[in-house]
Amino acid sequence: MTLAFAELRRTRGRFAAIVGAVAFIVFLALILSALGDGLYLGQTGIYRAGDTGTYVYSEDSGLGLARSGLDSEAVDQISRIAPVEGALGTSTLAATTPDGSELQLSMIGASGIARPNTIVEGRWPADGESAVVIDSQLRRRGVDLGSVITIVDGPSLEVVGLANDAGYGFDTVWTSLDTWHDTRVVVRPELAGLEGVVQAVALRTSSEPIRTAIDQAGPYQTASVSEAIAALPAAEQQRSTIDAIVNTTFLVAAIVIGLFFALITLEKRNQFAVLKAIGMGSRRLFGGVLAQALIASAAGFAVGFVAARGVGLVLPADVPALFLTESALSVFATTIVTGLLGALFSFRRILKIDPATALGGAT
Amino acid sequence: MTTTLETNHTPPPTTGTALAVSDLTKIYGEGRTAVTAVDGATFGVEGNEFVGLLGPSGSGKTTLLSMVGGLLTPTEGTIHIGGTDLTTLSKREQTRFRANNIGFVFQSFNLVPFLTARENLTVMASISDAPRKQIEARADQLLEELGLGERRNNLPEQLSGGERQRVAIGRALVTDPALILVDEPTASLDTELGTAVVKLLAREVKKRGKAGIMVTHDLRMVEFTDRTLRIVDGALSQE
Repeated sequence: MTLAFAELRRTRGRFAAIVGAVAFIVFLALILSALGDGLYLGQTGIYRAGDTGTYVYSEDSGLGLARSGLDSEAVDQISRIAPVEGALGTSTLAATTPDGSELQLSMIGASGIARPNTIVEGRWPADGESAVVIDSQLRRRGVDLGSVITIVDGPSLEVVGLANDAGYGFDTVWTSLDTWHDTRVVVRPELAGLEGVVQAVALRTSSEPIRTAIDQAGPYQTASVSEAIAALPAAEQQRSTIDAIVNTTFLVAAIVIGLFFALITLEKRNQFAVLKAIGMGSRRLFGGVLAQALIASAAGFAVGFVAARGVGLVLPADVPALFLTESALSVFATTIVTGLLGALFSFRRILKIDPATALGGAT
Repeated sequence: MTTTLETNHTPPPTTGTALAVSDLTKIYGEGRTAVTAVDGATFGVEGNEFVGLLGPSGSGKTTLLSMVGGLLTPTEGTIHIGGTDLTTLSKREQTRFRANNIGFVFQSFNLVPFLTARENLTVMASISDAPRKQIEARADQLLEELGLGERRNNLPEQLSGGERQRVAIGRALVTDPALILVDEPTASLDTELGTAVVKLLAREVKKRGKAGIMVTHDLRMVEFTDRTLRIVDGALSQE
């Protein structure tokens, strides 16, 4: 290891190239992951923010809230099978922020266990109160606790709470079912008379027999949280597409690191032959290459991480990037493993170096 | 000083010699394409003896040196160094044996370019079985004796050709090996410097009671050796 560390210390320029390449790849992976996480979590918070085990939709909804409707009679029928502990309704509305900026809002009316349990500041609005809880991502638009959001051609709603990870596609606000209904009727008068109609109800249970019973009891369709998320248009596809791009990026990283160390091994063939001749084993030589790959990968990650976070700070507010610790850890682990795999390219080459070539000027 | 040299079909050297080579043969290839690079070489080198190995290109001198250094497996024959038959050791054992018992001086210096002069010697602490402190103390002493005390912290690129070769000599001696193998030490040096380096080598080998073999094509260097072995077409003879 002494040799490996001394080489890193004294030939920094050479290793700066590979650290730079790894840093660039890590930067790309982190930015892509942040965009993927932002897109995915920003669309799925509605299902994950509450304490729901099962959602019940109307049968022909295809598990889409906008296409689902359950009236009070349906809710009563479901209640007879399992306690209905919450309900959801959603609308997409145009609104303006206090500084006059336009917003495309997802307004979610919720009750009971369907309400977000991630309120970090403020409170949940009282029934019928012209107030909302905002998904904390909306702060990037300059909306905060105490702000007033004005629905276009509709009421003004005061922000009384902030919830984390509670998004649903667009900029998201949550409110009581009553306020949700009152607001959408002001904007779309044709919906008057649909008081008491919700789009889905929430059960705490995730019991399969209960789900089966509800599915068979009437024109209903049940879904677990993960099934509800999977049914969101494009959410899963977006995630898998971005994951594929990130994975491809790391494949490139493995090849780049592999080529780098393969070339270095080729260049140092004479030196390795001499070291073998004077008694250094192949494993020890390869251990040095592995240590160098490890350090180069870790340093590359550090540089890429700082660069990505720096860019994250200046991204426009409407870019849904979310830097998650678990994604960063995943990228870090992948970077290290990729670096080590890349170094493996050199293993056979080092084994094949004949120490006898150190003599006779053959090298 | 006792020197022994035996040609084919003569009794091998006694086991008291530092190096005893017996019937050493290396054949490359098989059947009609077989080439005999070294043919039944038998010789010995005592401690405190510096032997020259002369021969034209392709005569087998590098093959012979490689086998004696445990870098190449002979087809036949034995190589005893300090009582150990090198030919009976596994590859891994040979590697370890080289680290502890054989010092190499290569042509073109072959120092590790990113290690200082001192580190090029102390790197042997992580290769041989000798205690690090012992190697470090010996490295400092050798550097002083070789006139490199002031240059110990310089990288090879900051040293002259002669200084580099002196560092290489120090590396070969730092583990206090029984046998020193020297490969064309003047190849990268001008005549004056080459002569000085070979004189230094001869002096150090003899002063420290080592057995030394120097491969060279330069007849002018022969005068600094105790005796000369000549190899032509794989056949060894004494001048």
